[in-house]
Amino acid sequence: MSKIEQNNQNPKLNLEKLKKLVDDITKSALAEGKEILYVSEILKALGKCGFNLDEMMYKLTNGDRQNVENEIRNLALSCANQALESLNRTDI
Amino acid sequence: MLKLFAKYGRIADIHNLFSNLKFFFNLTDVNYMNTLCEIYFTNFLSEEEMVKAKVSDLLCETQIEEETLEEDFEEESPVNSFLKVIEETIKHSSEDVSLELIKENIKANGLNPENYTKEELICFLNDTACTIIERMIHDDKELSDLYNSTDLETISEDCFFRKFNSNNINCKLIYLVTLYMLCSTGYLNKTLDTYLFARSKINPNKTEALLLSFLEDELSRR
Repeated sequence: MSKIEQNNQNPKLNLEKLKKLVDDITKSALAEGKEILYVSEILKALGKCGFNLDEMMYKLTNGDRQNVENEIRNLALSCANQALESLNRTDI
Repeated sequence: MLKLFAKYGRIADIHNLFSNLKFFFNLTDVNYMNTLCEIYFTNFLSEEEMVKAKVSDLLCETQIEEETLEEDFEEESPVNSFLKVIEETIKHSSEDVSLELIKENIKANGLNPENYTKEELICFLNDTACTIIERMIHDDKELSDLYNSTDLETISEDCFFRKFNSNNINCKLIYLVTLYMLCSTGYLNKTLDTYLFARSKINPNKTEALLLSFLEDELSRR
């Protein structure tokens, strides 16, 4: 199979699952009093949950790229909206 | 501003601004964003983005100003030529300068405004906004000294750690630099929204204000 054909395969990354796991990892860290997590720590914790991003590296498809890019843009947009709402509520 | 970056910006710029604003967001979102960006940068950076990132790293190492890069990579925008013509027009006019006179002089200098498309005019508006922001930074000695002497990443963290305060000189500089980045994005993507967002936040002098009026007038005819 050519590289182009491989890249056009269906998305492999389950973003819903990834989001849920990051949420769980964050809650566990907060419960331990840890407020800042480095990306390496998140990736390590994801690996322990069976979500090994190292194994997926370079195997992801164009569909994954589009999904990740959309997710980043949507997350930035939703966070900006939430922050603006909370600033408006506090009348700053 | 983040909303406009989310819509039009490069992923690297979104990540950068998001990181600066992280104290406004909840921790899960911050961690999720960092994970997504890590996946994106490790797997999906296009060759063009890789080259840009590499050149940007090299520039940081050799302390060459980024503007030089943009001048090398992109076609020269006629904004500076427009500004020169408007400056000359103002210099030689005793009364208020009309848009018609500016248009005539621009044509007389071999720059026919009718040759420019809607997209090009949007680029010029964003470019002019960038020029104005740069000038605003350099006109203010305190801001200019800070810009030339400080690592922007450090003051950016400083500024956001202490909560954003528009009276704080660090925050003022970071705000202008971010606004500049936004208009650069608008220039590259040919988006009017970015210029419209920046319009009320920039402070054009007489020449720049006339240039903006001229470009806006041309755009309204397309």
